[in-house]
Formats: sequence, C-alpha cells, structure tokens
Amino acid sequence: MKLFDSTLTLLEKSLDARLTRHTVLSANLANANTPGYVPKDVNFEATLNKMVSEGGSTPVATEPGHFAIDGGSTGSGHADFMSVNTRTTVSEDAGTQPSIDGNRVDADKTAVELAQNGMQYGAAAKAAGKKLAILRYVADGQ
Amino acid sequence: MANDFFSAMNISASGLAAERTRVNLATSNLANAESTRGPDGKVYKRQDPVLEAASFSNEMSGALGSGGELGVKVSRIVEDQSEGRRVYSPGHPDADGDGFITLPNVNPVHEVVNLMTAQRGYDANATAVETLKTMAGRALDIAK
Repeated sequence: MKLFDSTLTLLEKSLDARLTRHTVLSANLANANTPGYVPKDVNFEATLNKMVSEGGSTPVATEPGHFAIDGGSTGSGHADFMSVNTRTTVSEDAGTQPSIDGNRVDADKTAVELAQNGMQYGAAAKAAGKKLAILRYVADGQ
Repeated sequence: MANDFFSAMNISASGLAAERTRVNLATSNLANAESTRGPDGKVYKRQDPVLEAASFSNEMSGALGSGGELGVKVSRIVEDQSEGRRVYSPGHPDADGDGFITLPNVNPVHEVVNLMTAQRGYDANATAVETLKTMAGRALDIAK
C-alpha cells in the first residue's frame, strides 16, 4: 500500500465534479424564468461507477490473512482515476413538464439538488482533510 | 480554468441582477398604474423584461461544450402594446373630446404575481451563493 495512493486524486476529482455541478445547477436557477430554457446536469456518479466497475477498485486482499471480499482480486486494483473527466458529462436534463413559456426548470428540485451537492462537496473536502491529517501524523511521527 | 468558484458566483449574480430588473419593472408598472401620461406625453405602457440565457465568456462555454449557455441576462425591455382602460372623467386635463381618459394597461394583480415570482427567484439565487460560500469555506478547511 503506497502512502500517496489514489485517494487524494479521487477526492480532488470529486471536488472538481461537485463544483462543476454547482455551476450548472446555479445556472439552471439563474434561468428559472428564461423562456424555453432546458436545464442541464452533470452525471459524475455514472462516470465514477463505470471507472470503478472497469478498473476493479473494489477492496482487495493484499495479505494471506485477509478475508475474501466478493469481486475483490489480489493486486493494486486501483482504477486510473486520473482519467476521470469531470467536464464532458454536462447534458440536458429533460426536467419537468414545461411551463407555458417552455421553461423546464423546477426551482424547488434544483434548490434541493444544490443543497445535496454542497453537502457532498463538504464530505469530500472533509475526507481530503482527514487523509492529509493521516499523512501529517505519519510525517510527524507522533 | 473556468471551473472555479468565481464563475459559479458570476452566474448566480447574473440571476440576482435579472430578478432585480423584474422587480424594478413590476414596481415601476405598479407605481404608474394610474399615470395618464409618460415622458413622451402619451399614456404609460407597462414594461416587461425579456430574459435570455447567456454565456459569459468563451472560456466558460468551451469548458462545458457547445450550447453551454450559462447565466442569464435581460436582453431587452419591451412595452406591452395592449390597449389601456378607458374611463369617463370629463374634468380630467387629459380627457379627450368625449370626456374619456385612457389609463395604462397595468393590472395590479398581474404585477404583484410577477413581484412574488421574482422575489422567489432572487431568494433561490441568493441561496446558491450562500451554498457556494460554504463550499469555498470547506475547501479552505482542507489545508487546516
């Protein structure tokens, strides 16, 4: 197990994707009264799930005494998270029933998604902070 | 890099500005609900903003692919050309030969509904800014 593994890279990608999603969702809110506007969204989870299933980033048994985990394999087993592109997945979201001016933004749904996204950003930021705290703890030797 | 905190904040700011323009026009229409003449001497006509999704910079649309129009702007302000109300008021200085005056085509109920939706839109954009500020704070806390 390397000290500097893919954890921080993945968290950085996650933070990047959450910020992109915030930008896209706040653009939807800004256009909540623009006639004919179709909202957009970022599907980071789909990309990440694809990476995980293809790259085999399931828990791996690296010692003989480890319990076997379904789907796990021996080896480094880390997907190449550097290649996860968080920018190319902006797509139009069909949204809800359009209002009379053709606008499909659901302001309440968007506000909830914005709040969820902010919490997920906070969680990823906290995890990154903890990872760095572990590294600092090891470096300080105390 | 376009994917930064300030791009998102600029987008929310554009939403705030557009909603404030809607509030300004709705209050202007309300205030002039009984104005029988405007700056040009004719009867006041209610004004409506035309909102349009707009990209701020080529950098932003490039990062989000084509058709990544983001943010909003008031592309123009149009006058509602519908007819105003005709009221019989022979003593009024703006009365015509038959003693009728033309009042603006302002419906106060319509304007108040516009005010309410604009306020809700303003609140939503302000909440987005607040969320973004929290996120920025969390990002700064990583280095703590």
